[in-house]
Amino acid sequence: MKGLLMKDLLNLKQIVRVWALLLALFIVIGFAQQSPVYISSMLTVMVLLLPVNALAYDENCKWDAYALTMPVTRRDLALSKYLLALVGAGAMALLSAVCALMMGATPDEVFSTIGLLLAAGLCMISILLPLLFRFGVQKGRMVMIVVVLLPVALTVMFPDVFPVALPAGTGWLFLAALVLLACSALASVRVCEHKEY
Amino acid sequence: MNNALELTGLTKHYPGFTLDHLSFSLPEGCIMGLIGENGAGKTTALKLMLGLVHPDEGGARLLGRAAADRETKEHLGVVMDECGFPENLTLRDVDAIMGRCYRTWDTLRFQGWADRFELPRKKAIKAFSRGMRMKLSIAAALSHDSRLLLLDEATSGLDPVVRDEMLDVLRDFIQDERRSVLLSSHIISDLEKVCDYVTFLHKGRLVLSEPKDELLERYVLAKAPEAQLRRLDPAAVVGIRAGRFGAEALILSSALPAGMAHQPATLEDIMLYHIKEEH
Repeated sequence: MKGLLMKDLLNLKQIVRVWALLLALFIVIGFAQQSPVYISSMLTVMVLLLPVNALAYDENCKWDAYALTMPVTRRDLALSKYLLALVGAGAMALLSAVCALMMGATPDEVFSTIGLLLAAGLCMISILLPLLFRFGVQKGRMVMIVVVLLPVALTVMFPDVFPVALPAGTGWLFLAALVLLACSALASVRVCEHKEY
Repeated sequence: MNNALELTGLTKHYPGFTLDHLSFSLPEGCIMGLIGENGAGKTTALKLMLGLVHPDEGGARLLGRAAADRETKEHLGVVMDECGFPENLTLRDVDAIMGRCYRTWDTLRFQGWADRFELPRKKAIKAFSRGMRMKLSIAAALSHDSRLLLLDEATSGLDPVVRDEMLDVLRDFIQDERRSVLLSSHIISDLEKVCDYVTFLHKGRLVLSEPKDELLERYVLAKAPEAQLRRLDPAAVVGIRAGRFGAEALILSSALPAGMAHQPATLEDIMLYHIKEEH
């Protein structure tokens, strides 16, 4: 599992580098405008970005079939992408929390905003990953667009129905997202166990 | 002698293709060549052995174990038609990753192979030629405690000099008698040089699997006028090929009439005549 995670991080280092530059820019803007939202908004994207890109690369070079000839199981293949999502999410959450606190946000605000964004990202990746494992990144691209854009579109169209900040509920929402993530991981493992490489 | 590889009735149905009850075994300390036309089922057979594809019937034992589980795979070295490593990685990345996947990964050995194959250390794999990718896969397959190498078209894409070097590498590899190699290739002359056993697939079925020397001794290429060849016992004739300047036939050596011109049959002759006769 360590090897798989390392493979993704090393392979994605160029993308991560570009994102780090972009992130640096967002941090500068964020500090200039005293608005942590710029930084936090990257969080959701990051959760999605790492595993989806890693999967696309894997597919391209037929890594999965090769990895399965090594002491790696189908279960490892599935779970490593979840681990990657969590690593990306954790790093971004930490970074944006530190930035927000430095800008003078209260810990409560920080917790609710980041919790909400993190929950949104984890929900999206939970829906996406089993589908991408099942249909591949190429075919899964349409699903991806729907999963990512639909919530955004709905929030814009019905701003009252989806309260963007609900501090009290964030804890529960986050917990629900984790449960969804766990179910999704089980589903992905099942998909990979039955897959033919 | 133990078998490094044992297939019993391995079967897989696809629309338009069936790998039909494939059974053969590879004794330890030997190199087996897997031959057959495109689409004969060589890659499917390898994928079934490795558990990449689920069999409909039958099974395979690798290194004496029932399935390709984690422990078995620690001792497998596999080279497939594509290199398998993501394109942005460098040699150092591959080393770091493999070191965390294999318990028995040996960095020094890997660097040794990389140097011997003259692989660039700092370039990303996407800048590698096909030959270099193959060499990287082979280096990786040899840099942990592998006892069974499964090579699918590993020598295609390499020039004759490097191919010859690879064959030497394989010969060295089986000097340790617990080690074995299964090698599929279109380049039958390579297999003929290095194999102890030959397994021949045709349209998803096993045609033969036996020691190479016995096979080569069993058949000869007889050369005579077509009419004369047609008079031979049909049971002893695999096939007759008539040309403008005479005819030749692949026949059992035991049925060769005294005085008839002939030459030793190559593996390629044996394969081509068997396939041609089917049509």
